[in-house]
Amino acid sequence: MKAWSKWSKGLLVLGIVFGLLVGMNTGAYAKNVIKFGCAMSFTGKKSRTGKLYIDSLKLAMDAINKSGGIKVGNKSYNVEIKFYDDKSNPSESAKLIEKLIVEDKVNFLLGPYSSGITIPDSIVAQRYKIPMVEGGGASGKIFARHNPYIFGTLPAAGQYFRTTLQMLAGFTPKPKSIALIYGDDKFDISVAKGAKKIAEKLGLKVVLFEKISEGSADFNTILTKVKSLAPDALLMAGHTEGGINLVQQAKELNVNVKMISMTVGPSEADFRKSLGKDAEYIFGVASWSPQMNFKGIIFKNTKEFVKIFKAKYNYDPDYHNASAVAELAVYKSAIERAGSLDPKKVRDAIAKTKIETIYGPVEFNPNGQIKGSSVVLQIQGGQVYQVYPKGTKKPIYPMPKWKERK
Amino acid sequence: MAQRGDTSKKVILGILIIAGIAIPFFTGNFIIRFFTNALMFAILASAWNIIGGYTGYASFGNVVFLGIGAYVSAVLMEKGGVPFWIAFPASGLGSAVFAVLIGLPVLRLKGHYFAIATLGVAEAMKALVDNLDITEGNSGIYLPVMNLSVKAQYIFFYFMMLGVLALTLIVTYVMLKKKLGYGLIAIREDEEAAGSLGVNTTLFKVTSFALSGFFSGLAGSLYAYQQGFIKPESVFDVGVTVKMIVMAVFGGIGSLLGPLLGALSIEIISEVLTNYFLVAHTLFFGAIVILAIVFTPKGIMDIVSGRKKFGLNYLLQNIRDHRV
Repeated sequence: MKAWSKWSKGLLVLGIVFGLLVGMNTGAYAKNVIKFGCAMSFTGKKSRTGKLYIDSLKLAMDAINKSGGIKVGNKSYNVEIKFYDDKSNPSESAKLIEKLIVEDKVNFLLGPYSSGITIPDSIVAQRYKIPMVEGGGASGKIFARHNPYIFGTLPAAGQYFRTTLQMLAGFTPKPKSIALIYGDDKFDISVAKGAKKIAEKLGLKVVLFEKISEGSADFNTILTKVKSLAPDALLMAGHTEGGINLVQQAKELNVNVKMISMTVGPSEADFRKSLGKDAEYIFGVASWSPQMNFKGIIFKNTKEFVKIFKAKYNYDPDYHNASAVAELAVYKSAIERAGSLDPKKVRDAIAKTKIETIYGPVEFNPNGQIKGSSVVLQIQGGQVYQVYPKGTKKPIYPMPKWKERK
Repeated sequence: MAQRGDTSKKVILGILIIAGIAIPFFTGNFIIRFFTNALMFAILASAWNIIGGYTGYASFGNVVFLGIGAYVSAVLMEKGGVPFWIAFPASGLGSAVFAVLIGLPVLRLKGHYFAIATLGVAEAMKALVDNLDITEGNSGIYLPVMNLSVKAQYIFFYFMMLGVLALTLIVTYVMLKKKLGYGLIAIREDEEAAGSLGVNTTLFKVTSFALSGFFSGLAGSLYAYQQGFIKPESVFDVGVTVKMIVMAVFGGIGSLLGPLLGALSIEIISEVLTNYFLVAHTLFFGAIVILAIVFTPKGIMDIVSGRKKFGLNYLLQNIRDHRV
């Protein structure tokens, strides 16, 4: 009896382990369904933004299913998304991608949120040769290895100022020089480095390229340099707070450039409120804003998407939400063009994507990242308008000198 | 009584060894990866047990060894073109050397002060790696991809992890039979008394910290190679330290197999909960950990080793013994 009880305890442990393992297997497979897998941050540090993707993906899924699903040949397929919680952790996420592919046998993958989680996930997708379209990672690192199975709908940080610089180079008389200042933050550094390259290609001389130390509210030194170098435009990659300080001090020191542009700030209501009239003519960039209007393939257009979205979730969608809709739009178009659910064929169709979505036109670079589609904004009359390329208003350039303003 | 405990320990060990070797041949890639991950935590929890459990120094920065191991491999393989077979032991040694350097000043602190200092060391290391050029900063670094079929890769990582775990446990087992092990336990019980009896406490503590670092560093190297990409944020995550401590406590601090059982059961419970509750799993998981600490503070090992009869009385006795 004693010996038996020793064994029974061991067996009990073993039994529990295997019982739980069996519990881990879930599998229900319905026909005429295209299964997408998505490991998203439901909990943890990234869950606030993760929720934006979840809300949007669900809304887009319902919209596709209501309007007849995705057509493969003559058959209509409904969309189903299997979600898991990656706890904002990259190893957890990579493990779940494995699970989605091996256990849940999903057809295709949707990306997680943030670059650091996207990369390990994309490596798993590559191992199994299953395409992943992601709308939550912008780092160039994701695409640096030329993984053929990853496609991203967020433009590269280095491309942020591309449209601004293109617009600038198109003005007559053609501006000659620019000043670039940037925050001490990896994202801002990438933005600035990328902008420098693009500017030089466009024949714009970068006369000042300087880092702003973190948390500094004093731009006197930089502005004095700007004044003496007299560039045509001053571009800043930084945060809202710094942007406000910069504009205020530029006015105080009477530093006049023909254009001031910043990455974040101008599109935010706070920025305009703090600066009042001084915010006028300041340029900004954004990959998307709810004010834009693009035709879509899941929703009729951006306006309709914003309306439906707000009615359902009661908050304003931002570029994360729109980017998530673009993920499914890319798949819908690619699967229909491929006429098959074969991962390889769909991958090739994704690579050839050239569609209009409520997020804007989507087309991928050979490395898989979306062709930069950020738009130029300008504050005119206390409102933010898109001014380039195509916009509701024309850009005002050069901006009036501080002393000449009313 | 002692004999009874020993036999069932052997039985558990036997079952674990057989199951450990058999699992990858009977399951799919996901289960293999799941267990590879669980084994990694078993290594981390067992390594933590050397310094936290046997020596009594609750390190809250043990994740730093995982991070250093991961980065030594990443930098050597990616930047230096060094093969894995050299980068792998180098990662363990790198973490061990770091443990010696950091241990000399930090192990002079006791109790809460030691815990906070180690926490600081891990955070400082994260900040450093975040800003170094050779580690490619906070945008993360890739590792070369292994040129094997998916299944073969996963089986390779699984058995490497299993091997490191076995090494950790064997070294710990041997250490416990030697002067080192007795010295460490003496330090845990009463450091001054141990010192006065001729135990070179500094040497013993640093050795224990270095062993803990060595095994964690090996795990870090394997982790990085399997992930294919690492970031400072994830390999120096203080949450990983908390997890290894919870696992060690859950399984039984200061016992050889406790951390292993703790790691396996916590990973499995967490996986099942996550599977059924998309968001609420954190709540249930927290509740289970609290209940386990309240009712079985000595961990699973205390139950399965069968020193005392398991039942309502066992639970009540625990509460009486450990109430604050």
